[in-house]
Parts: sequence; C-alpha cells; structure tokens
Amino acid sequence: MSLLTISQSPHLKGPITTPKIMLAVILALVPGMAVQLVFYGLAFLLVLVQFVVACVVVEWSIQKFLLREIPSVTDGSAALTGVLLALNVPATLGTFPIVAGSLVAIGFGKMAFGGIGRNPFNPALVGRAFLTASFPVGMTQWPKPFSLGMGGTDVVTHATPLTRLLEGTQVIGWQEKIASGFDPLIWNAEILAAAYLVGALLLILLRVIHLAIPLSYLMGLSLVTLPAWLVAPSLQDPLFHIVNGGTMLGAFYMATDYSTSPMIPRAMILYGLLGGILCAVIRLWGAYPDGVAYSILIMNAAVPLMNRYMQPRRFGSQP
Amino acid sequence: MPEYLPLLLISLGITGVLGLAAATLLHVLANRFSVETDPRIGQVLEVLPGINCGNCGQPGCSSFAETLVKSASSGSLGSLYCPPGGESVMAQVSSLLGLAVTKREPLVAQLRCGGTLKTAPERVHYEGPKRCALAHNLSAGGSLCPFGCLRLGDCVVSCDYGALIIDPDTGLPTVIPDKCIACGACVRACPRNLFHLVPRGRKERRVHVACQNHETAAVALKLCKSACIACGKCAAVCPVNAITVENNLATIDPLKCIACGKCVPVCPTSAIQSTFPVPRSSEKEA
Amino acid sequence: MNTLTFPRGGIHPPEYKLSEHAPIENFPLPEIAVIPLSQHVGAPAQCLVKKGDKVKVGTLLGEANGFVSSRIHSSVSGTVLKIEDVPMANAYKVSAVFVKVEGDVWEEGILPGNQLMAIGNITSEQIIQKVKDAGIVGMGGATFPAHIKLQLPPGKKPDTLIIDGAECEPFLTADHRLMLEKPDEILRGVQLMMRALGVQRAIIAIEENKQDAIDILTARSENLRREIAVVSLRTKYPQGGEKQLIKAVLNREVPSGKLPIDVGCIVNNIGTAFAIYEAALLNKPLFERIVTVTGPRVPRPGNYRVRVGTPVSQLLMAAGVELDKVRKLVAGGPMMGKAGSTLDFPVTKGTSGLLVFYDADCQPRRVSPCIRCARCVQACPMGLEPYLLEKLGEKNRLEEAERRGIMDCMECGSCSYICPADRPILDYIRTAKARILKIRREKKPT
Repeated sequence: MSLLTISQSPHLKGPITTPKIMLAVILALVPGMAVQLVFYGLAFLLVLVQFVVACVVVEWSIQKFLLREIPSVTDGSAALTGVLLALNVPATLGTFPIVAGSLVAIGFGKMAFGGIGRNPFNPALVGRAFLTASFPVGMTQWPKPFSLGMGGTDVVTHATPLTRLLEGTQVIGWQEKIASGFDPLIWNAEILAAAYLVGALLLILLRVIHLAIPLSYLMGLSLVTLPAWLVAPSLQDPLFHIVNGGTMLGAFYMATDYSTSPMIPRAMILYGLLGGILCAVIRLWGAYPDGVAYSILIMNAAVPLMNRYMQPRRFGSQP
Repeated sequence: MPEYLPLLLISLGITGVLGLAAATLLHVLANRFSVETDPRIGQVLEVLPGINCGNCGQPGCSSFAETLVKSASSGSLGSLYCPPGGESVMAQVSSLLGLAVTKREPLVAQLRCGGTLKTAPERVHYEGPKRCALAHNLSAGGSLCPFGCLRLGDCVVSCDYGALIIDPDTGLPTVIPDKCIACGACVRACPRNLFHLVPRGRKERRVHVACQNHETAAVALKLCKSACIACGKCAAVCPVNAITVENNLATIDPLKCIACGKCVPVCPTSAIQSTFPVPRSSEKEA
Repeated sequence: MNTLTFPRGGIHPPEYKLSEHAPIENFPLPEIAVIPLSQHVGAPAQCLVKKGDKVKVGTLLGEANGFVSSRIHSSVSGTVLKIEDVPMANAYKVSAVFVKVEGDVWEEGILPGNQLMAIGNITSEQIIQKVKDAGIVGMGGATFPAHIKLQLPPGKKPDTLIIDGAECEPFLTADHRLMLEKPDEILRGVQLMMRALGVQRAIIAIEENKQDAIDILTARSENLRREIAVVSLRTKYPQGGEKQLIKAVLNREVPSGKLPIDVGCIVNNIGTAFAIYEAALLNKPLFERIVTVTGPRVPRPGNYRVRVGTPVSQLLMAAGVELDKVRKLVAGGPMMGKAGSTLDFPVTKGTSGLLVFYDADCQPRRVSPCIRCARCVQACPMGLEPYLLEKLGEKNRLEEAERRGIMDCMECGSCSYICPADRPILDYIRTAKARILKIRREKKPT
C-alpha cells in the first residue's frame, strides 16, 4: 500500500497552467502571423522560425549551463518571446541580428533577472530596442508587402506611414484610401491591426488578459493625438495612430505581459493611460518612430512602484 | 594658438574653481560635524568575529563593540560575552580594554531526536514546500511522531556556518561540532524545539537523551523504535544522579553529567547517544 | 428570483455534487466508539467518566472547561473501556473516551425525532441553556461553540439572522440533503435562534445550484414570510464565507478584525439550526451528524447520519471505498478540508464530509515560478495580494505581511486553486498566520 498523501488545502486545482496561458497567447497571434506570412511570404516564416528557435535555445542553454537548474522552456514563454520579436521586426532581418536580438532579449531581458516572472522589462521589447539601436538600417527598412519573391532577391523597401510622419512627407489620407478601393497593399496596416484584434478578443474572452490595459493604452494614445490632430491635421488622427506602427500588437500583447504590468485594475488603467500618452508624445515629437516599444518599456519601469503603492481595496477597510 | 584654446581654458577654469569651492566646503563641514569616536571601538571591532549573529544580545558586532567600550568606561564589562568568539576573542577584548571578562563554557547545538528513517519510518507522504514550519503546522509529520524531527531541514537552512547537514541515512540533521558557533539559529528555526545549546564538555565528551516524546512507552514505541520509554535504567546507573525521569521522559542535566557513558549501553532503545564510543557490554543475543 | 453574490474575488470550481440525490441513511453503530473530548474550538472538555462506567446514548462524558468550550456526550450506550489519547485527522493526539457498544439505550428525556415539535413559549434564556447543555457547535466545520454566538455581548443588538445554506464547497451535500429532508425542523431551529437572539428577521441563503432546497424551504416558510426569507445565491466559491455571505445578502461589510455582530447580524449554518431544534425541543444532545462520503472514484457516494466516534474507515467501506487504494483522505470539503494522516480517526462534530482521492486523482504538484499574472489578486475575496503574502511568508517578513493584511485571510484557498504556476500560496500564508498568532500570544502576558 502506498502512503497516504497529506498537504495543505485546497485539494482541488484549477485548470489554468502557465504553459496553457503561453500557448493561448501564441494561438491568439496566429491571425497576425498568417497576415504577415501572406504579406512577406517565406521570408517572414524564416525570421519567425529563427527567432523562436534562437530564444528557446538561449533560454535552455542559460538554464542548463549557467544557472544549473532544470530547464523550463516547455512552459512556452521563450517561444512566445520569439514570436513577438518576429512580429516586431522587418521580415528582411538577417540571421545575425536575429540571434543577437534573441540573446539580448532572453539573456539580458529575462534570465539576468532570474527568469520567468522576475524580469522588470518585457524581454521582446528589450530585444527590439537593442536591435533598433544596433542595426538601425535593418530595423527601419520595412519591405513592401508582396514585394518579396520566393528568393527574396530584390527587396523593395518602403517608408512606413510613421516614418513618413516623422519625416514630414505626405501620408495617404483616408479619403484617398477609400477611393482606391480594397487594395491590400494600401490597406496592409489596417488588415494587420484587424488580425491582431481578432486574437486579442479571444484572449479577453478566455480571460488571459485584462481589458483594462489595452483599452486605457489606446485611450491614452487618443488623448494626445486627438487634440494634436485637431490643431494640426498633419499629425494625423487617433485612428491612424491606433492602426499604424504596431500599436495593436503593443497594447494587446506586450503591454499586457504579466510580469511587467501592474496587478490590480486601478494600477492597470494608470499604466495604460500613461503608456498611451508617452507613445503619442514619442511619435509626434520624438526622434524615433517606435513610440509603442519605448512607451511600454518606460512604463515597465514604473510597475514595481505601482505594485508597492497601489493596493487593492481590502474587504472591510474603511473608505 | 589654436582657436579652441580659450574655450579649453575657460572650461578648465570653471571646473577648477567649482572643484576648489566644493573641496573647501567639504573640509569645513567635515570638521564641524565630525563625531568623536573612541578609537577603542574600532580596535575591539577588529577582534570580534564580525558575523553579526546577534547572540550577544546586540544587533551586530559593531554595536556590541560600542557596548563593550561604553561599559569599559564605567569600570566593568559585567557579563558581556561573545558566544561565537568564545574564550580567545574575549581574551583579546580583555587585553584591549584592560578589564576582566566573564568566563563562559563554550556551547554546541544538540538535536534531541533519534527518530531515523529506519526507527521512525515515513508513514505519510507530505506534499508541499519542504519546510518544517509548514509540515508542523499541517500534521504530526512524516513519522507521525508529534514530538520528533520532521526531517525537512529548516535548521540546515537557518545555519549560516554549514554546521548542520542532513544525514542521508538517518534523515536527521547532524551537527558538525567544529563548525557550530552556538549562535542559536537552529534553536529558533526548529518548530518543535528539538535543538538545545549545551556545554561542549571536557574534551567534547557529551551524553544526551535523543528524544522529547512525553507519551507512554507503548504509544511512543508504536511510532518510533528509538523513543525514550522512561524505563529508568539510565537513572539507576548514573553515578552522579544527573538523570531525571519525568513525564515519561528521561533528561540528562548537562551540568551534573560527568560523561562517564554508563547510561548509554543500558538504554534498551538506544535513545541515549554519546559523542564518544561506549562499548555496549550487555548486547542482547539475537 | 434574482441571485445575490459578493462583489469581488471568488472562483468557480467544478461542483462535483455526486451525492446530492442520495438520501440520508442512518449509519450502523460501531463496535467501539472513540469519542474525543475536544471536538470544538477552545479548551477540551473535562472528562467525567472513568473506566468501567456504564453510559447511555446522550450521557454527559465531558463538561465544558472554561468559557470557550463545549460539552461532550456519549453517542452510544455501553461500557467505558479506557480514556486514552488518539490521533485525530492531522495525527496530533487528543484525549478520547473509548466506549464498547452494548445495545442502543438512550437517556430518558430525549424525544424521538420523527414528530415535529411545536416551539411553545420557551424563553431566550432556556434556549441558550439548552444549546449549551447539548454541546452544540457550529456545524459548518468551524466548530465554534454555538451558545457563545447566541449570547449577545453587552450593547450589541443584531437585526438579522443569516442562515448559511450555501454549501459552496464542491462535493459536499450534507446540508443540501438536510434541507430537503428536514425543512420544517430547520425552520423551527431558525425560529428558536431568532427568539434566542431577539431578532425579527432571518434570511436563509442557498446557492442556486440547490434549487430544490430553495423551493422546498420557500414553500414551507410560506406562513412565516414576515420573519423568514429564503434567498438564492449565485454559485460561487466562497459564497458561504461569513463575511462574503453578509456582503451578498445585506450588502454590509464586516470591518477588518471585527465580527458580524458589529454590523448587526449573526450567521449560523443550516446544520446548526437543525441541531438547535433537536436540542431545544427534543432535549437531544449533539452526538450525531450528517456526513457526506464522496470522491471522484467512490463507488457509492452518500450521506449518512453518523454517531460521533465512529471510525472513518467504516464509513469509507460503506461507500464502497477500497481502503488500500486511498491516496488522500480529506476531512471536510476539498477547498478547506484537512488531509488525514490515517484512515482511522473518529468522526467528530465538525466532520461535514469525507472526501476520498485515489492515485489517479492526485497529480503531484508542479510548482513553477510566479508569473505575476494577478489571478490570485483577482480571486481573493478579501482584497489581499496573495502572491505577495506568499513571498513575505516564505521570507518570514511577518510585520510587512501584517501590514498587507495577512490576518484578514480566511484561508479559503481561492488563490492556490487559481494559481497557474501551482504555487503553495496558502501553505505559506497559513504558516505565517500561525507564527504571527504565536508571537502575539507570547507578547500578551508581558
């Protein structure tokens, strides 16, 4: 007869586990990945596979050889970082930047702080910020959708709407777009944003992410861009800013990263609002077009403070 | 003359003046607000172990050094003592301050449980963090003995000096006397108060009852074959009456005990342990 | 009818009410009853019998010893064999009276339970005295002596009595069956409690997954509509937690560190209401209770009326459990019940259920690092931050844990249940609480 087991209550265990959460986020990103695949073909797939493999290998090796602990890559968080990184970079990025970016994202962004749950900054964004600083050419040359053939020899790059905004060149307006009919080449940013939104709805329905962060982030962004647009229409309307430049990816998938976002709804709203405002400020008056990445990284730094000073209302405490 | 020279000179001048001003200010302030400290405090601190164990009753070595010097100026060191430092450290303190120090017997930690994996086997499987405090809170523990060692090693974690290790054969923590400084961390860590600080004894000779079970012999034996059954044989052979049997448990008074080892072989459950070999004269024939 | 619930936190574990259609069966008498003298919160009872004494069912075995204590009565008739320490569910030992069962002779004055007694003009003092004499404790599992709850502290006047029929723990069905089978007795018990407390209003709160119980109690209390209301609660754990129940039913919040009486209400359990009816009108001491025997792989889950002191192994065998397959035995519900170290401890006044898990039901814990997903913060019905309290408990930073409200924790286990990393959150919180209480006790005398 085997021994009786004793343990503290509760003796029931909920169905949610860390790997399931990570898998859910990766699945929710499938529409986004599919759109990118259609736009950029095998080049994107290559970047995606390289990033995922590099992130997983880096995490596994660090845990195995440096930290001497049992590797936990099966929880899927390294793979998720790889996917997010792939969605953050142009599909033309070479292997060397990819490996270097993964090394920084996982090694410096995550494992240096003790691994999953302990990192103060979103690892994917740490990787992206590193890549932007180290490979400015590769990171700003966005290929035109459908321009990459199977071989990907002659890369046709185009200035993204945000770059145009920064440079002060003409951005295609809504009327022009609508007039052009449904051309995926012109509507590419909108299609991608819609794909991200579909996955995000799934995550919200599954209660993987809290609506408070993305919603307040988008609100914060609009809060600055709306008056700016009314005063100077060349700064573009809020919808333009929500659709372009990975705002959807940032608001729904990266700002909501568990360990780098606050724990209670009140703090989540503050975090989102400030993040959105920062993003708009960086975009409209900053030197880089990547408002989303830097705004989230800056707000990540504020999260420990928020967790310390913003506590949930205790049951039975006097208002 | 290169055109940038004036610029260089101006910046050099500005930084130089600023630096000079700051240095003067620092010098003045340092003199004005300097605190007179007794140089002896530093000297005493030098000889203290510097491990901040808190066993002297002070939060750390530096505050103990201050206390020592302060009470030295009042003429006596009273009963101030550094337990981990022991006699050698206190002798140095004595020569530094020119005052007599109290003498204390050096102590060592001792586990009063002999319930090994063999004599008190695991009877339930505990699932949860391997921490004695948690297991103690939950139940009587793996062996079901409500007095015995939980064998999860809170004491080992609490020991900063590597003086405790879990013996894989017995499952029990073992004290390494050479490393133990009697800081008392294990005494505080054990949820069942199984650790005691006892005098090291002459030539490290010590005898103790490795059991704290107050249950009657029949009940105690059911769970642990090395439990004290309060038979009283040890008390009967003790030449100095150091052993008392009370509340179903024998206890050896370490101050009276002369470590002759006579009680060790007579114990029918081997609950009495010694730090020196004692021949078991009357081994029962199998 | 709209359903009530508490506003924040809570979880929805699967219900597993396997035994809800099994009528309450009288469990046969054991050969030897082992009746512990401590079956309640507070001091153990003072033993009044000695070896060789003849006892009847309902004979007083132990007198309450101090203010917070309770009487213990014999649950069987026969001869006292010995008084000895026995291991309880957690393997710590308490003193118990062993009675060899001979026949089933009841003390005179205990009326048979098959007829419904009228309340008559029994006074508040009489009711409280009878509850005290009968050794009644809170039957929900807390086992706090019931008469103390009925004696109001000076200057406090409740306006509402809430009867907890939520039975929000998965698996358990003892209260559910009792409501279905003894609705009139329960209502009488509620009226008796109202009279003892001097309140004009009682609310029986039942989770909506027990619609049949809501229906039957609503129908039977038709002519009592002015004083007793039956309300339906949303099925959510821990709906039956005292503070959550008051919030759900009356929208009053018991301040931290205060009691329900401070917001003008008293909460008692369905089982307690029934026991008070039996004590006050049938003169029957508390010596038996309804026990749910259940588990995912138990062949015949059921509800039994069991005499206190019956070894649990007999109950398990009656439900078809193969004892050598049992991997884990929980006394109480799965969320707050205690895992047993043996299969032989006796049923006590607080044993609301016996939950059996086989090997296949127990996956080993796979603890992984906290991913700070905040699910525990969202699940905590008390508005605490369990992930933080776990850390503070592990590091033994007790003052900070106290500042963060660790003592408000009622150990419902929602945090540990929901945690995707399977962290032992409640393990550490509970130990830290025990340590804080110990330090407080040590500080008091000085």
